Amino acid sequence: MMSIRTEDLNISVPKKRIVEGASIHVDDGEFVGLLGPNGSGKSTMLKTIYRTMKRESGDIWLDDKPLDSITLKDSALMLSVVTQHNYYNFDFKVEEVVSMGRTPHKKPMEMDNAEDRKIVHDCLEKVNMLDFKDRNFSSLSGGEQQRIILARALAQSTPCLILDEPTNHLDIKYQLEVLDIVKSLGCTTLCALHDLNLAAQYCDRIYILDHGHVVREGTPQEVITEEMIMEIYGTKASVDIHPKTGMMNIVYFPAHYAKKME
Amino acid sequence: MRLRTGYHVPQNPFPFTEGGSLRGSPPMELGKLTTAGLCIVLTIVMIVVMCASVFIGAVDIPFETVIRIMVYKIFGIGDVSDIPTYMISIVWRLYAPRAVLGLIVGVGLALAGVVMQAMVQNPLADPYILGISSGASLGATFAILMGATVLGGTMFASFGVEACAFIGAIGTSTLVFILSSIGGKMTTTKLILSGVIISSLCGAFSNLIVYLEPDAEGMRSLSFWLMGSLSTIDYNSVTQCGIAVLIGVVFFATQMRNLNAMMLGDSTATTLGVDLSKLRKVYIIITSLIIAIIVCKCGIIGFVGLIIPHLTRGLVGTNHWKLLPVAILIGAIFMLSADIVARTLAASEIPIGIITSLCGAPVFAYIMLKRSYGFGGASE
Repeated sequence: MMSIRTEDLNISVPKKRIVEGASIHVDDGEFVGLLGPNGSGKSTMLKTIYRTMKRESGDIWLDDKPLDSITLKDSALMLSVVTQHNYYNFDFKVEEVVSMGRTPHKKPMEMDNAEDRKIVHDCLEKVNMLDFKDRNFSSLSGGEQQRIILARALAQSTPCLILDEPTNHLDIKYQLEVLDIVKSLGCTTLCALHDLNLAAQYCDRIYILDHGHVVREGTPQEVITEEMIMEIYGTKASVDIHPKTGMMNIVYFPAHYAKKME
Repeated sequence: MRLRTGYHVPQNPFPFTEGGSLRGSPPMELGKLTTAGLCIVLTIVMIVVMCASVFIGAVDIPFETVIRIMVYKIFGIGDVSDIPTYMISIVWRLYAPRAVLGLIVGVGLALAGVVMQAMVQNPLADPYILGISSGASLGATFAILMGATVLGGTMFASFGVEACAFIGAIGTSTLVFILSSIGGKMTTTKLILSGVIISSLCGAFSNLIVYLEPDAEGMRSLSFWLMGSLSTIDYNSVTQCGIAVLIGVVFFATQMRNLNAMMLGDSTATTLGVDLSKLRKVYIIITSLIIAIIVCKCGIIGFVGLIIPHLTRGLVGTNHWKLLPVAILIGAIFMLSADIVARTLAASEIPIGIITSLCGAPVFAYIMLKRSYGFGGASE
């Protein structure tokens, strides 16, 4: 059992409250999406959960243990993270970047053994980047780098995964591929997304964040509605079941089209 | 063998490896074994340069005599009763410790450079740029020239030059870190500028102290602190430097994984379970200790901590498992060579800091201009 839970989470930067009273939970094996317009506090909230930002008040539990009672190393064994914008001042080889996912499993002076190398190999294979293992990380395209970062998170072998807009920079093929990989792991997953169609296809449950408040919660069918999109995103849209896939299909109406309809 | 005409498809001679990467230059591949091989080669080179350092110093003494003295002193083999005592003391008391000190200082500066660059994830960091050397120098100058008058009678009077240098080093590095993280995230620009600010402040105070005590000792110290030298040595200095550097080498040998994780940036390191704020403090204390002792004994020797890590990364990459051992060996070789050049280039000895800066400044410029290092941009 591995779950993530927050209660009444408040996060502020000087003079501005970013997240206010946010309570969410991700149950064991669940794929939960965190949606909301730009600046709604998605990334901030995730950062607080993966401990690179401090919260003002509220509680966070990992596996029903208060986050503050878990050492950094132990939380790194429970939770791996895929963020956007990974940029390094120094160049590593792809294989080295992925093998750093093994860090929390090792003592600082312990070298990688055959098992670690196998895990790194398998993770690179899983994201279809095995051919790139000897390349320099900086020589890869944004999408390729994103898949390497996913491979590093996989190499960390944690029961929970946090992803912050993992499909940014990716071609459609790889957007689907990355989310398919994550979904196939069956991990407890909390994922910030901004593509509503992807969210509808992959998420078990969705939270909508707006101006730092959790304003909607439920299954994709319950949450993603024409009314919600108008209210939160200020955009006219139609939400239907696609005749071929049987899945939800969201189409946005650009302003020039919306005008024509009136 | 069949001659092919026209184009042919090159076959991959290793069917189980993929050779498909086209973009980007392939990293220079020095596998685990070859890194070990490289270390052995460098160790041999280092020993040769050390011997050369002793021979070149004792230029008036026959080659064979030098060898006999060294063999006798180190292994206790042979007999030196027919060699004049002054020759033995020149070799054993003057040039042998100098060679050992060169090795230790080279190792210490290269190590400090590698660690500082990892610690701030910045290719321009080194003890000199970040003001730690100047801080140590200020502390030491203060202790030598004013210590007795200002501190006399207080509980600090018993503090030695080394202790003051250490306090200076820790103080400046802490100040630089605080100054560069005021008002948000620590950026490259702020860090380098803070280093320059603190550095010039310390330099100004050092000069002021020397100016207020305008005697021969003061002037000699000034040139010593600014340009460095391996000339004022005895086995005592060698031992002190040796202990500090050894502590550093042993400690950081256990930190390879953390150093690697640090290079990925603060937030990634945190998600990998590496507690940066705690480690940074320990790393600063240990590097400051190394730099303080080296500055006390040899003055400020600039740029070694900057160029050696970069040179080494070009050879073996960023992975500290390979970088650290190779960098300290190259650092030792560089330092010993620079000392040989300093002694032989002109009729009288040139301060070694001049030689290292002459090599270092162009490398610094090259790093700045080479875009692929990509410093100063956004970070995660």
